Amino acid sequence: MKATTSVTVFARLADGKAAQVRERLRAYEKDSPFGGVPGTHFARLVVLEHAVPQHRPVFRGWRARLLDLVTHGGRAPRPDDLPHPYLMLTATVDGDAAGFFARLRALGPVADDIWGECVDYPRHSADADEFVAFFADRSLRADYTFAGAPDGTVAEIQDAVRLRRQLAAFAATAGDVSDDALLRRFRTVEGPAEPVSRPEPDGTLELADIQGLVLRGFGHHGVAAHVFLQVTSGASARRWLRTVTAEVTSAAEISDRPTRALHLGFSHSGLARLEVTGTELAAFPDEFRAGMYAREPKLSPGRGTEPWQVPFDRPGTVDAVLLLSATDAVELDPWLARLRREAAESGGLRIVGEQRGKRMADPEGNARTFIEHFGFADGLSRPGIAGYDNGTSGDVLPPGEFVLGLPDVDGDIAGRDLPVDLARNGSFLVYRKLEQDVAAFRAMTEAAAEPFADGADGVAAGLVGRSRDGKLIAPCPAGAHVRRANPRESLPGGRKLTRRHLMLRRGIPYGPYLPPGLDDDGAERGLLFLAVVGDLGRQFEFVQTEWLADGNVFGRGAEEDVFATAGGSQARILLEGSPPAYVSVPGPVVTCRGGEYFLLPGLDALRALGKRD
Amino acid sequence: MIETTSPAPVGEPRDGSYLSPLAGRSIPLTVLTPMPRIWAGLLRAVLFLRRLLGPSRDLQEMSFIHFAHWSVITRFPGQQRRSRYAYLLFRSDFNGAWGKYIDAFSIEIPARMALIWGWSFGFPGALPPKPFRRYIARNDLPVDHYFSAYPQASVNEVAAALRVRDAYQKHVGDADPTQFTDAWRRFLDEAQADLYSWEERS
Repeated sequence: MKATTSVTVFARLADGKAAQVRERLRAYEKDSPFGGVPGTHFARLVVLEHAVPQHRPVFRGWRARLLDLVTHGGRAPRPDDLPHPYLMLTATVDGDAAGFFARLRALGPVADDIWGECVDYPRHSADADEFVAFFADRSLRADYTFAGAPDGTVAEIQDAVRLRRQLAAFAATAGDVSDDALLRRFRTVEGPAEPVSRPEPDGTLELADIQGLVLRGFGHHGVAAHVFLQVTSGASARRWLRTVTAEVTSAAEISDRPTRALHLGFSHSGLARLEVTGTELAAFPDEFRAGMYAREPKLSPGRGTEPWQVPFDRPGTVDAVLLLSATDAVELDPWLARLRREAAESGGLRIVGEQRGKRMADPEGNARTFIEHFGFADGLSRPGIAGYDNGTSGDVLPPGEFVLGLPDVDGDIAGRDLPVDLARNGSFLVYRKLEQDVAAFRAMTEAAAEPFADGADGVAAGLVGRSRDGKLIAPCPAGAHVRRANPRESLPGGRKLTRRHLMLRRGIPYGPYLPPGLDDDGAERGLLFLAVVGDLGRQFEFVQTEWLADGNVFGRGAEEDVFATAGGSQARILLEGSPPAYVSVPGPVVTCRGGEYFLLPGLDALRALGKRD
Repeated sequence: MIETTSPAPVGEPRDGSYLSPLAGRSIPLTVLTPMPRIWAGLLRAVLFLRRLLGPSRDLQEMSFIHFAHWSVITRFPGQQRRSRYAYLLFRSDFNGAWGKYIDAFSIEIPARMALIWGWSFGFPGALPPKPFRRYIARNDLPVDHYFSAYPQASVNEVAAALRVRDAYQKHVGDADPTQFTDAWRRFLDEAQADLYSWEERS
């Protein structure tokens, strides 16, 4: 006998009762009646008044068009609807359907509350056979059922889930019951050869129209300044835009290794204040229109925007960002002063903030790599762009993953619905100011260091998935940060699915480096996380919520990424080994202090935007 | 009869398609789509064949579907005069971000998606994923009440819990108390990957 049964019941609702029944069902939100029906895995109730009207879609591919021709003769559907309103029950239950219907009767008056408005409903006081027959007669069979979880009754699953949690908590807190030798858990391995990126443009990309930052990170620029602007007058700001666009660095200039570079982005509020039309704005994706502030409660569950700083402490404050970078401060400072002055004197802009950034050289003296504040080499792994990075060994992605208007990894056109003269050759920029608590990170790794042969460094390597010099470790723990940020082959579906969620990271650290061994100086430091994407939802938000803020896809339940979590007394990251070790994360080591989604328009789009009147 | 050809809707009709739910791990999806009656028998045969072939391995490996059910409806229960069209009713309980769930179907098994939804009106093709996602979102019926017996446990966690239970019974269950240390160590060696211990956000 199979373990579970699919049950679907269409009970006709008396005319005019749909709204009332719907309201009653919605009131059960907190306290489900099905909690009192043993053997119910899942259940749902839907008040069904009408079928959704269908239209003939615009077909993108010949296969879909051919299929439509075969199945529908290429004709649009004619109107059709349900014969009358229904209350639909769908459930997956242990045992057979009749047994489940009999258990529904045990709900008593609650069952009458749910189905009381259905035609011919016998009420729970009716005899059992009659009650069961009411449901059985209105049942619909499932032609095919798929079950993804192993077989088990509701009681077995609930008991096993509880047991697993208790055993895991015991394993995590009991400490080691053995006297094992020190653990040398990981060995370092040479990672796959990193793409030695030499641009090999093949003409696919219109370099002169794409902002330089999209294609390159300007690694030779040691300093950066980000100026946050608010638009106070659309007309004056557009006038300013006409002048400043001439200084924006295009990708065509990259090969000259310019000593300084300027990039320019607008948030949704910025485009609105530049008087881009409502119709054009409505075409932008939800993420961009809402802005990062509104998305943050879901991007950082349980943390939200509470710790955000000026100018990001309120939504819609930052309309534009000027991203300046240069080889050194001598090159940067006078230019920055002039650009600030021009913006301030434009009559249409207000400077609402400035953020400095500075690269930190590797203390080991490796000139090719930079480090971030926790001491790890950064920026080692990044995807290449087809048509530009040809000949590299890493993941090479279609250009639409990063440049709007071009083919993306799904065979679609990136930003297909966006207004062409605004979005063509543009990109989306994710800007996040991530404060790092270096003292807390060191304390956390030292607290867990005891069973590790190489002490706190071993803990850090296990959490990050790399040793400090950038070598990957093997076996890479399931909860390691590098694996969570890009799981490569480690998830079902492999690279075919994981490569849809990669970003071009353009970050730079801020604040002074705190050398190991020194006490916390209280200074603010962290990473200005910048990422270039073609789809904010599929690339950035997906990684943030599915891979960093949750561990389920890695088989780790609610375990969060060490650099995304707020931590807490019950927060522990499991590092496999013999025996396994648990690293407690008592508080946050990385905290977002603000951020926004920007559009980095193509240069033609910037010029056109400046000329709108 | 006026033929309607509508352009793609502007914006995603279902907000936050790549954001995970915060309350509970399971999300219901309920989709009812009309199709010409002549194809109902053929689609039933496809689903019957699917049942004979057993659960599909690649979907099982994706491990984010608790249950999914398909029914072909040629007559709604109690219906006297039949409708113009037959209907395909799909319902599932899945984990994680909604957009991710639909995308994985499109990308992993586009041909099977076409074999199941290709008969229905409005089906734009399984690839690229975005139009298909919009199609499903437009047809997803709002659920008025939803219940899960283990709301905080994903498919992965259910599987992990059953493995841990079996390993525990095998190594520790009947072990002599004096042998506990060894038994526990063997249990840890076997089950440790499933012994993550991060409490849910309260």
